[in-house]
Amino acid sequence: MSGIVLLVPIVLPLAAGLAMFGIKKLEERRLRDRYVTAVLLVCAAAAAYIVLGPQELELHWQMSEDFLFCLKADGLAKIFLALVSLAWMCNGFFAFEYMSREERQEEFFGFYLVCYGFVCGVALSGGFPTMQVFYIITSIACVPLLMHRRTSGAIQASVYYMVYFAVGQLFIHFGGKYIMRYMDSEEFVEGGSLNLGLLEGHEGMFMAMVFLLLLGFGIKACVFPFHNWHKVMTQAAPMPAVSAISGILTKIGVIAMIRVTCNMTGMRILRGTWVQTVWIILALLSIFIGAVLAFRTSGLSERLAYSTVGQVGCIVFGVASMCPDGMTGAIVLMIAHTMAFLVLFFTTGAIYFHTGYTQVDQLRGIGKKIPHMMFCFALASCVLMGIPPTLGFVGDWYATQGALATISGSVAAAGSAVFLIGELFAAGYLLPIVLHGFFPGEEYSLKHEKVKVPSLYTRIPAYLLTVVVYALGFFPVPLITFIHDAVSAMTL
Amino acid sequence: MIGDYRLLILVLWPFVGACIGYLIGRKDSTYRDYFADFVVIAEFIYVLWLFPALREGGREDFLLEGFCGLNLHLRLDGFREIYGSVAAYIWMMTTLVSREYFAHYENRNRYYLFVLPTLGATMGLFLSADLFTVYLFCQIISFTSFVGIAHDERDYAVKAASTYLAAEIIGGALIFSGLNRLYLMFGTLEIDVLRDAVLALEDRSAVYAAGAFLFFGFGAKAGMFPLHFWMNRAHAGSPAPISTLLSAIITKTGVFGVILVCANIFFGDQAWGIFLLILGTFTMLLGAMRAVFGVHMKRILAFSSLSQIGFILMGLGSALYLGTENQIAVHGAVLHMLNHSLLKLLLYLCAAVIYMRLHTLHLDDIRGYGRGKPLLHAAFVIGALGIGCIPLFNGYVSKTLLHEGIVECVHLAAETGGPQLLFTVVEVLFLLGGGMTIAYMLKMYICVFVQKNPAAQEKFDGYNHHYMGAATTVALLGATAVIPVFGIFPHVFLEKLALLGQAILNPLLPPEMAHPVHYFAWMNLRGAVISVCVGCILYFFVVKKLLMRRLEDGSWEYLDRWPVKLDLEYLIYRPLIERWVPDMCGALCSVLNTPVLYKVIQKMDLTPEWREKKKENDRKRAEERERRLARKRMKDSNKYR
Repeated sequence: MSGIVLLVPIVLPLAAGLAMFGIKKLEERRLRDRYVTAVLLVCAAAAAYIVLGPQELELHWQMSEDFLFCLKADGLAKIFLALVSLAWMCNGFFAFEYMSREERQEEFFGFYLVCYGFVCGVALSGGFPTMQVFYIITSIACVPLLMHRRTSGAIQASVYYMVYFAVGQLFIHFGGKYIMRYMDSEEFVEGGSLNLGLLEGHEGMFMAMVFLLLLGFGIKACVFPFHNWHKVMTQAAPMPAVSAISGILTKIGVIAMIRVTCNMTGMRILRGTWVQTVWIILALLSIFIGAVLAFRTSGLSERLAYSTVGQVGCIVFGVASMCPDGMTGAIVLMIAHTMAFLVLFFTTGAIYFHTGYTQVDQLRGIGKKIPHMMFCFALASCVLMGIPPTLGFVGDWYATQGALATISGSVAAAGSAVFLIGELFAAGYLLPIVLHGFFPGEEYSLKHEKVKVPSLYTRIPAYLLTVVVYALGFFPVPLITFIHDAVSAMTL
Repeated sequence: MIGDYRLLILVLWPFVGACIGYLIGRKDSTYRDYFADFVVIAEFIYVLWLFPALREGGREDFLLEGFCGLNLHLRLDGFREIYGSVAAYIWMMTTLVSREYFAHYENRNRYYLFVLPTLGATMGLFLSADLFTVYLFCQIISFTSFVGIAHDERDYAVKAASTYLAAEIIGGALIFSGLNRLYLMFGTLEIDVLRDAVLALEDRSAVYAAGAFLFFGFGAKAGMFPLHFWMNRAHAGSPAPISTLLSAIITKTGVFGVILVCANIFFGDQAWGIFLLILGTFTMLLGAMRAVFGVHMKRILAFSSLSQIGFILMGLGSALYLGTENQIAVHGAVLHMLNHSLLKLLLYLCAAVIYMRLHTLHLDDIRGYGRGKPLLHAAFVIGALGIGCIPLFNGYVSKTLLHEGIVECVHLAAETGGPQLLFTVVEVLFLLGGGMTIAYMLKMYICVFVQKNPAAQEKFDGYNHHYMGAATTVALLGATAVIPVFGIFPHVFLEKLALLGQAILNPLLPPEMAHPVHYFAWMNLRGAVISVCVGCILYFFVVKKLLMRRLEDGSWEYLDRWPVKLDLEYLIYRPLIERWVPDMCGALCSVLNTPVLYKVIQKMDLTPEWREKKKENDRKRAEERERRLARKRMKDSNKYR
């Protein structure tokens, strides 16, 4: 029963998080910080054991007649788990300083840990029903983070989010139920377990339902018509919650999409259908809208929120190409984007914490005060813009290669054009922050007295993520072969 | 890793040196400056040592597979060898000057931290044998040199730097999409493999589409016509050592990319050759015209660079048109690139020497500064003669070859029924461009070294004998000496170099001159004479009459007669990027982005009243408790009284 290990990253943070509500002592900050650090590190170690371990662990538990609880650490799951653990850990450390002025901190960290457990559950789940359960709980568990401040804005945002979530849930429920009828297995199988014999005659409805299912997951990934909750959420929630939701939870939607296309229906049946075309168009629209709106807003957090929409659009575009190269590119982009984005959030969060700046213009000359973090910001921006030699470039390269190879005609041309426009706009909205941060011009006269160098809890995660994303960018071949093997096995 | 790792050291050493220098600089800036000198000098010596060493034994290339997902491939052959050495040489000279130039600047540590990696990246770019490697180093150069341009932190410098970065990023995006298409077609970006693969194709239209993307992408880096808008401001706004690098080397990285595209994708395509020729002519004339109108020394030099890049493109165009037997045109293009690098190094160093004392380069302010400074005088004159293509100076050699190339085009067109008239017009414009070059160099020369300054001549004369430090003198002398040596013995130096470097444009050329060129025969001297005559006429009848004004005290004032509005950057590009495109896209997005649902939710009253009440209750309860405690304390104290 070595598969039991798989339960550690799920159950441990869950238990630890719930325990936080009961232990009064944890209201003191130093003790609580240590407690949370310990939990996060132990979970990360468990995740590392699962990821680096030689064999693929599995855990099956027939809970009832029609529900199979199944965890599986296959290639994709390993990648997701590693990414989620690293990101969640770093974000947790960042939260220590930032949350120290908020109320009810123990409640925040409690829910933060609980949420972590469920996110790991999504990453590790080995079958659609399991994933659906974890997916639902994750979506609900992040609501307390979202409305942590209990202002009217936060509550409005939460209601808004819940409405979207409910609609998405409806899509997922019906789509999933319908599709599961044509699956041979409840588990995720390499290449999908679609029973073509059963499907005969129902293709039209099947496609519609697949689309519905993908759309349901797309709501979480803020794909075009459903991207609005994201900006509203950004304005209302505290920064660590925003970075967790924007950086990591949006990726849960993408992970689910990848699972559906790779492990349930298989890529081949979707390739060349209207589902793919519409899907690509939606992804392109999200890239476009995200990039343009981010360029045009002057609010810092709104800019990052729209930027997320655009960047996740790039990832979804890679997924929608339905071929191993594009899928590899999408996953690489997902890794690059998660890490680089957290760095951006850490930097802006640290600045906001000390000064209360919310507008881009206010950041003029900030690089003189906190040069190292702003340098990380600049490096992370390069990742998002896809400048070589960064991981962002690698992802962009594979995603566009995959898309150009499989999609034909005008959609491909439009795709690569929009991709480029997205990157140019990304340069347009990220670089001025860096540029004016380091080169404020003549009018600037050592303002920013309030800016202090952030504490180590904030800086170390930023440095760590920057180093990791650049190391991966310089030598991505092991990563790419790993992902490519995991994905190609599924396209057979 | 396959091949000789020593090539990689060549690229990595400046990066490492920059980091070490930064750490030293945090402790002591003097040692940091000496260390930076050491880094570039070591690099130059290493280059000179490495090339023969590699030739004798070992492989001449280095391949790092899987860097950034693709291949990092460095190679050493003729052209790469020449330009690698030139890059190291120019960096050495500018770094020697930097110490004195930046003596009173702030943030010097940052300057060295970014300018040294630019050397490494440039070296890598000129050595690259793979288009991805070219792209990679191109992007690194853009980001590192950008910091150098904005070094002043003045508004104009920051603005110039942002324009530069915008041009580079747009160029980078074009290159990215071109490479993407090429890789999709051939599965490789190796330059040699690509060339054969393209030649083997029947229908080349798809390749040409990719090639056009690459061409304009690299063109943006080279400052080619529609994407040249960053050139003058970036050159004028940056500190002189950086503008030297920009003009002498960094624009050449773009030209190198253009050469690779032309030689490997468009090889032997006559139509593309004509297009390139026209584009080159236009770039050349535009640059020369704006240089003639210029009143700021660095701007004039910047537009002069633009114009010379036009000449190089013309050489490439005629080389493409001539097909396989294009040795003269190829030599012209390669040598003009080399000569221009050397000449611009010299001229910008002169500008740096002037700026170090005066902190301005406006022609009105530097009038007469050069009087009584023989070394500066000699250096500038030699540079001016070189770029004006006077016989016995290096520029003459390459321009003669370029001219010959165009004349060959005329003959070929006459034989094959090509557009003969077009080539004849181009030839005339070529000579006119040469004349304009002489006119603007004459303008600067007379301004600085002949005219007297009505206001500050005494102050200027006071600088005589101590207007530059020892390191600067060495650099200036070194940069000057090369030019007449190359010019007087063209067959000894330049021709050999051209034979060494020709393979980059056409590997089929014979390893010796097919037809010997008599540089000092009347037929070739005639071009120079015509150019000089045109230049003098232009100077005395256009520049003196229209662009200068005689004041009452007999001195001349320089007038900026170029219409302010006629500036592509502010006329088209900035509004396009800052307003038109975002506004258009924004209008589209705002339609798509109306949050109906959220508005409904906002309408609903969701103020958390229960929470307010709870707070109120908590407060009341706390007050109550406080009161009770107080009463108890009172009672206790009464008890013990």
